Amino acid sequence: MTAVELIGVTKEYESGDRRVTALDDINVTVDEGEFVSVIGPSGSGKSTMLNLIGLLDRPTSGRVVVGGVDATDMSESRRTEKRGEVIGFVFQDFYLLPNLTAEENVRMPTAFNKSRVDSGRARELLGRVGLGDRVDHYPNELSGGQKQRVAIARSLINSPEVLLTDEPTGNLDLDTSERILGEISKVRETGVSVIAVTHDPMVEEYADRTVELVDGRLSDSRSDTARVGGEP
Amino acid sequence: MAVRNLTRSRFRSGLACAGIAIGVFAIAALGIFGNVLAVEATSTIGEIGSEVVVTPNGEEGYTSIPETVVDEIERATSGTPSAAILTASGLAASRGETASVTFYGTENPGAVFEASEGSLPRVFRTGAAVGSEVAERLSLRVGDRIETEVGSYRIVAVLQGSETQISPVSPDEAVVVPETALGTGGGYDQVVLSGESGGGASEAADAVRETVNARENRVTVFELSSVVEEIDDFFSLLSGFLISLGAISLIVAGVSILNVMMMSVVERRGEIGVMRAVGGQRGDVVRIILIEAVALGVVGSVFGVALTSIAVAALYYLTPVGASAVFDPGTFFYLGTAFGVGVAVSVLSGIYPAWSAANEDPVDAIRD
Ligand SMILES: Nc1ncnc2c1ncn2[C@@H]1O[C@H](COP(=O)(O)OP(=O)(O)OP(=O)(O)O)[C@@H](O)[C@H]1O
Ligand SMILES: [Mg+2]
Repeated sequence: MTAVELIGVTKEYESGDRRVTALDDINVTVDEGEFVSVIGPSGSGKSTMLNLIGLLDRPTSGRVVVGGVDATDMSESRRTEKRGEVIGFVFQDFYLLPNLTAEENVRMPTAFNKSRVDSGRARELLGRVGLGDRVDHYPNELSGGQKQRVAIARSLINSPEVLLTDEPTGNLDLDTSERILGEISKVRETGVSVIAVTHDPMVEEYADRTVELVDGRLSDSRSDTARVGGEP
Repeated sequence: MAVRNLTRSRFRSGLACAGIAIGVFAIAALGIFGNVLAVEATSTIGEIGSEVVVTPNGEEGYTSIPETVVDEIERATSGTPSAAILTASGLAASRGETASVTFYGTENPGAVFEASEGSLPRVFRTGAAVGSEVAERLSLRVGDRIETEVGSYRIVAVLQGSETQISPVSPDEAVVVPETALGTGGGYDQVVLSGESGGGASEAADAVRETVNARENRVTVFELSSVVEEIDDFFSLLSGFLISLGAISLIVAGVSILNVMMMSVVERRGEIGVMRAVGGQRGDVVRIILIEAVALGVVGSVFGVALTSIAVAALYYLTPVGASAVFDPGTFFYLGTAFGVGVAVSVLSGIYPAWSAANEDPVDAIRD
């Protein structure tokens, strides 16, 4: 089953009178339970691609299909709803709410939908990322890596179908990286697709395949990108 | 969550609350003080509203109102009790004590005076009624005799003092005697009409102007109700002015809430973006920001109302202002209104920040 499909997606930004093409007619297909890592130089369009898949942004042209539903022309509030249902985000800068504890931060997304999630699940997720003893700490009492792990736990609270992470191991040492990647791999076994933007070779090791972006285009420099860029 | 956001920048939130508290205090306190003044003043001027005094028009050379004109006045105002009065000043004595008094000669004292002891006869031919001060000075009671320049009379009534009733003819130093005692046939000094109400009084006044003064301004017509109206107008102007002062300070407070909410929305741009990213709708964001603004407003308004209550209590205990003025329904009206306006101002001030936070593109918010 296909979890994510980008069909001929182009994204242009207008800044002043200049047009920047962040993504140029790309086709990407990610299957259910697949772990795809996205690499590429800075400014090559990696975050832009995640935002499009995460329904935060709309393509200039082309179509975005998530969970079998074409989301390109959805209304803003439908997209917001869908984000809450099927997408899990771990942002480059985590964005924890400073006045909520780790556990409350993890539970925060559930405040916006009808599903009642108890603090038990939030605690369990924190335990899985190795923060079982930090549930009642506030973000300013946590290290950068711990905050990142809270953000990962938060991204899983709504049992997403697609997990999008920007540098998931960016702030983590080797051991913790391994642990997090182990957790992410475990999540995949339940059918969750993972798309991870990274510079970390270790992430690539865990991934089923790696996609490379250069100047908004998919590069075929890698042998295992055969499925990318062709017909879905 | 809203409360925790506010306690995060405690100092700033505190200032915004203080602003609202002061604004609410200003509106409520100034409104209440204006109202207390008005209540006190109207209870002092109380019952004068319905009398009309007709006096000869000195400017046209009239020094008295002749009998025929009195008849005209009575015809024009039929139904309104009236008394034609002669006035003189002089001395009165009893049991060796002497006092200087004002004599009022009239056939119908009931139209002008009220008795606190004894009673005023419908048609006054014998006896005298004395004012409370005269009665006190000369130790007079109903049934006693009083010796005056215009004769010796038995007291039939003691008049009510002017504290309870303000009258165009001051009752305190009065000795009211039958008209014949002062009568010279030359006419009267004034005619007092006692309307049932302010409206009736001004009708009577108009009637006198239209008939008696039809060809020539023979008499001057003075309505006490017009004075009362002017006083009322003055007080509503005063409290309007006071309340607008308060309103200005509340607007300033509203701007400070707007500022606090704007700053916090800008500061929390990324957080709000994440809320939107994980499924928070625009409406959710609006709600969160508005709740914060309302929380500031409610806390500020509660303090403002508490502050005002203390000020009102101080007013009651430290000044001679009476309980009826302090606990007038107006007091509670102003407290309630100020509270409501304080909260409303906060909501209004929260709308723009909430709107701008909700319309922020989450992508932009998260990117930098
Ligand atoms: N809102 C925007 N307005 C204008 N240009 C933008 C905007 N967002 C992104 N860009 C441009 O699009 C291109 C791709 O940006 P993107 O953030 O996707 O890069 P990236 O691959 O994530 O880089 P990094 O590894 O540094 O995070 C860049 O040239 C960037 O300047
Ligand atoms: Mg990026």
